[in-house]
Amino acid sequence: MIDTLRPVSLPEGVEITLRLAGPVARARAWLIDFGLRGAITLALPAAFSWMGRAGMGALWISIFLLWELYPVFFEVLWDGATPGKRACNLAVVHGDGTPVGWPASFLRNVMRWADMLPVGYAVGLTAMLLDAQFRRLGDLAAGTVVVHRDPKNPRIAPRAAAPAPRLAPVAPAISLTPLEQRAVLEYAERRPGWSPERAAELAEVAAPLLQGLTGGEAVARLEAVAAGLVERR
Amino acid sequence: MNEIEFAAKHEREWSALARTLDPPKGEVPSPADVDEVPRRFRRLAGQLAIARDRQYRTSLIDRLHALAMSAHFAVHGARAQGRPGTVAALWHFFVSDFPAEARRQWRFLAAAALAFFGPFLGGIVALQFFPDFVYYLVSPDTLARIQSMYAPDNVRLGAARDADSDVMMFGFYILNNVRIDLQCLAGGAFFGLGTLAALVGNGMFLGAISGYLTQIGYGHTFWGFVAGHSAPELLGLVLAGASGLMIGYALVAPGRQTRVAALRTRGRSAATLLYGAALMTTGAAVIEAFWSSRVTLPFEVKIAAGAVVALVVVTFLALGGRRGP
Repeated sequence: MIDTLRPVSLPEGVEITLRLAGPVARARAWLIDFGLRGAITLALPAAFSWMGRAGMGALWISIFLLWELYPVFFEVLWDGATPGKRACNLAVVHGDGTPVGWPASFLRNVMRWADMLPVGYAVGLTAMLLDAQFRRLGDLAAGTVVVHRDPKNPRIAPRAAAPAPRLAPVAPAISLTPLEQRAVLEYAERRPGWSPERAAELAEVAAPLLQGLTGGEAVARLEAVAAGLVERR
Repeated sequence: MNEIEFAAKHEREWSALARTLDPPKGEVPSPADVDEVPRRFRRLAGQLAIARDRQYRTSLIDRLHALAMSAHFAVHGARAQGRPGTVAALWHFFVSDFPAEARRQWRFLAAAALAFFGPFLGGIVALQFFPDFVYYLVSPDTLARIQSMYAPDNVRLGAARDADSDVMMFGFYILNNVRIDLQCLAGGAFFGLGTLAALVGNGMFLGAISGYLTQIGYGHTFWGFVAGHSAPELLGLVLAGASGLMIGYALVAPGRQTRVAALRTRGRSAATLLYGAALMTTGAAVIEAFWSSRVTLPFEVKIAAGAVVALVVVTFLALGGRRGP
């Protein structure tokens, strides 16, 4: 299947899935960081002006820290995310899903000098488009990937974990494969988020289960089937 | 057991694990809970596999998956991250791991040294016999500026330079020279050509300047100024160059692995060399800003100090970290 999911097998005997971030999401995070760093850079001369010529030295060192080491410090000490990445819910992790460490973060950010050539990250973008995991040169050398992270405060709150079956369970008219059972369960779970018309429209897709029912009756029947499935052994 | 019973049975364990991994503000997880994390994680792995196999509802699977991810982060992250944490660990890296790694990569160091010191020494020697050749290598404007900086009767470099200016120049050397080190590594991504160009180019430029200033008789001021910091600065550049050549070599000749795998293997030790290079360049910047600019000191003292620094640096690279960790 062509998707942006990267399964990683853990030694504990289970697979986790990293959701890889593509060029657009990453460029957006970079732009936020760029704006932040640009604003600080513009404010620096005023902050150091009282120090005279020594202030120039402090200014240059600050510029070095801000433009070379800022991503490294944030990525290692702040769960793999610079402020821009955090705002976009992205994070840098090792290829095996563990948090990025000093050597990897340092390497991927130093390699940025190659990725940004000749102009506007053209090399990095080319590498990302050629690589199945959207890695730029720095990521390839450091063995890191940039992943989407679940937002801490999701805009759509997850619904209650176990919705109580409101209907008397009904056995499905035909036998369902595990994946079909899953689809029906999914339908019942997401049902509260839809308008009645949309719910009916989707329910009618499962025609073999409905025995000719339509509209609201189809919805009720499908939910009853789902209620039965939740209790399956 | 059906899905609801399954969730009800393990609910307490899952929420306990979630609370330990991401405690609410102001709450510290109890040591007993922390000790329990690996066991709970292993059981969770089994429960997630069961939930997937039985096609339980997606919200349950997603929740267990998120929990498994954060447990994985917490359990293996601590190891993978390898935070230096203490000053002692950083110190150990610098005095032991770094020189040992530099010697292990001596081939790349030698290649980088050849690429830099070849044009550098060649330039110095050639310009003693053909001084006009300098105009092929350095633009007349730059040359005039540098020439005026090192003119023996010039007082601008002299005692007039105060502490303020020292700090200013220190900042400039950090920004400029350490950044060149970083670019040397990144240049390796173009099959090492970027790094080679940086090494050869810097070697030719510095060779031309040194040779020209010596030839026109400014050697006294020039070598007096650069003696103190030249060893750490030039060796820092060579080390950075070596790290770039390692990256390039991984791409040109990956051996019996894919290029990406070779890049990752070499990349790790290249980063080690670059850390060391950046530290040496920073040290050179300290010397350059606060010691080299003292023109009131006699020429012999400055040369002697430079020789001592060079000896220390070379000894450190040759002998540091032989006993292993």
